[in-house]
Amino acid sequence: MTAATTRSASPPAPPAGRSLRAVGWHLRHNPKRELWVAWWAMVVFYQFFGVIFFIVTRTQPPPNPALDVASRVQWFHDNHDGLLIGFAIIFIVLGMTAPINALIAYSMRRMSVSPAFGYAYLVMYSLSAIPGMLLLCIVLTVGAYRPDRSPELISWLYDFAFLSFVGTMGVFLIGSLVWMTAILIDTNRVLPKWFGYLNLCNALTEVVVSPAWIFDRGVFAWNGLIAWWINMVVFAIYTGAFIVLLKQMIQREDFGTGPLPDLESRRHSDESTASTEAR
Amino acid sequence: MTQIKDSARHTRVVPGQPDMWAFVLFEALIFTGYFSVYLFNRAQRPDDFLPYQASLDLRIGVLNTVVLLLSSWSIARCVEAARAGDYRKASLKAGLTALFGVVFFVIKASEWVHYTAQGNGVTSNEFFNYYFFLTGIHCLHLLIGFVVLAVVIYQLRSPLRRSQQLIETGATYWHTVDFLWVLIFALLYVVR
Amino acid sequence: MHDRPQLTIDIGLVCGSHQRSVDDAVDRRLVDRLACDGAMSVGRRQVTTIEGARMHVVGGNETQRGVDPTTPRRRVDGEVILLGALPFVALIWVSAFLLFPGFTPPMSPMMTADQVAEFYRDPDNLPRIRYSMILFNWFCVALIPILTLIVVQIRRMAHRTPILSYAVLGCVAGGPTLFLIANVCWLLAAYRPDRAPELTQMFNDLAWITFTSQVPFLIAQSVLLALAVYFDDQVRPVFARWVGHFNLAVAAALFPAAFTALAFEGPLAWDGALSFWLKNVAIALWIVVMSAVLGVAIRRQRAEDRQHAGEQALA
Repeated sequence: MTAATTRSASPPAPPAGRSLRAVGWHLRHNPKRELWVAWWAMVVFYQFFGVIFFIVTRTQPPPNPALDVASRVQWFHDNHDGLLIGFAIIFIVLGMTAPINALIAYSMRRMSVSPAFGYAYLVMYSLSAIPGMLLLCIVLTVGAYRPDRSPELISWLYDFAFLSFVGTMGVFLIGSLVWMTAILIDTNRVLPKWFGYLNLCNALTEVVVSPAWIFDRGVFAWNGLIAWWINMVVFAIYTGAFIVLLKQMIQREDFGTGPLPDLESRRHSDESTASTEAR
Repeated sequence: MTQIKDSARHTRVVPGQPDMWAFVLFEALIFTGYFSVYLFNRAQRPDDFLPYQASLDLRIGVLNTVVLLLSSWSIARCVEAARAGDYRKASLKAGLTALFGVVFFVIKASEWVHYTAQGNGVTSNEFFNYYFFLTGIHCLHLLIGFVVLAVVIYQLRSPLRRSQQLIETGATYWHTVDFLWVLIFALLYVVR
Repeated sequence: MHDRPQLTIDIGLVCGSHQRSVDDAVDRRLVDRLACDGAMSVGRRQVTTIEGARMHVVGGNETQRGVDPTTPRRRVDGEVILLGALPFVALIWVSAFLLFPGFTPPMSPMMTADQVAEFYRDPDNLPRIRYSMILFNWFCVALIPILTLIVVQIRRMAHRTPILSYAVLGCVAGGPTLFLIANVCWLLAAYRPDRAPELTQMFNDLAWITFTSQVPFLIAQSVLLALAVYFDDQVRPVFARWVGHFNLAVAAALFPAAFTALAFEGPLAWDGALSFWLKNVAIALWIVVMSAVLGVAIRRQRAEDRQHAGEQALA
């Protein structure tokens, strides 16, 4: 069924190109604007995440758990400014995870599965950012805040921060499984099946992180080749995949409840609608 | 409806969903990563690995391998039977596969208990770190395989559902579990 | 014989999670009224429930059982009860705020470990710290039902998808949870005041830094709400435009507090003008203003429902 009945009286074609005017037009008239806002929030957030965690604060890749107390104090000293400024920026922008989770929950609402999937995912991921990311930011901020704090306490904060970050993968694991199940039983073809299986890959690599709670050196430590590097590579591929797939989903969106049209047929129908409107 | 359309598009190319093959490829890559890490560390510090590897019982490893190979055989027969339309036989074969899987799991679990009691626990020495990790993650795949088999049997039971593509997809996954075990067996038990 | 509502609604138009794409001939709220007032028998067409809008779609020629259409009944939906709880919650919050000796005046980050330990050991302070923090414990979660009312209002807005309401719901979960962490740390600091001063100071730091700098979900909440208001393209929007501007201003006011760990004194420090006073006043103002706006919106919603119910009775 066509859902194009309620477009407000507006020019049928947006201004070409990516000027500020074009963006303004889309924000005012594009029926999918809130989806695009959420998608762009996702892209922007991951840029922030990458730059701040990997470059500014240097908490990714994580420092060595086997460092002794004096070296840990030294690490805080070396990264003092980066930690405080970087995490302050995270404290402002982390709210962008809300539209990201909302977009993913929406993808599940668009599927033929029960709304329970979308809501479950939304709840899990809304809460997961707190033990899974913010705790690290808060604790490292407190650790860097008073450099003259007792070294044992600084060492304890160091452990607390990194273990809470690396070790709370369980939340993300279950979320991935929920999304996977929704994708695999979906008949609306919202997301491809291979991405459902990729969720399983992601979930399995999250499981692999758990030895970090046991080992403090070697490949199973929180900075180890298996517990961190391989996991992070898979996560990066997974994130890249769903950013692209969600973009395609938004482009294909027809606001119905049946199967989503393919991208090529959607483009053709958009062109034919535009040409009939132009007449 | 969609499945019929998909399978019409894809049966000529690969058995089962091509998506599953993408998954298999990806998992194989990840496991290759794990194996490489293992081999690299073993080459670096052979003294931390070889003496402990001697505690592994080759016979149990061989037994496990045989059990899983049998399970692969039975799931292949299941697919064959489903193609021929003999769904009762296919169900039985799928159940047999699950049974073999359970046998494998029981043997593995008792092996773990045995080695831990021997003093070669998860954290005891570097070789057994890897041993428990690799066999553990493989067992996790096996447990997921049980879920997959359940889906296959569920499909086979009702005439409304029998999607050949889904059954073949499940079989592909199970074969992967078997394949990964053969690699682990070769790496951990045989190569000394 | 009962009046038969003849609603031939095209399933494709109204199914799904959008509210705007309803044909002019069908009043969405009218359908809502009929659906809520009694048992609607399910016809041959598929009945679809749309979450949030509580819309049931039925085929034509269905009988409405058990309800006399001439006396429209209002379903008690409890929203006013939730909103009415706000003054009590606010009372608790304000009392707790004044009761906590660390807020009046705000403790300085420059205090040494011994001074902090002394603060918690002081017999005048300790009971006040504990009781105020326990009160705060109640407050922060008590705010969630009220925040959810905002989510419900966003669902009523003329958006194509419910995604903004989901996003705000996610933020609503985050804000109070973060405040709880600070709350727990303060209570921990006060639990064993005789422990080593460095430990007490660390808990105090954790509490203060968390309380002051954890603004991400509050900022996102306000920005998303502003966005929702701006995207609400209808003749009578749920919230007036200025609510959007107000929320953006509040979000901006919360920015400086995120940088509190960079300073021990001055406006950015956790007892300073920007991180403490501006942030907390902005939050308090937001709660007051949004409650008033919510009250107006809910009252208007009910008036519209009554009007439609009256129209339906006449039809």
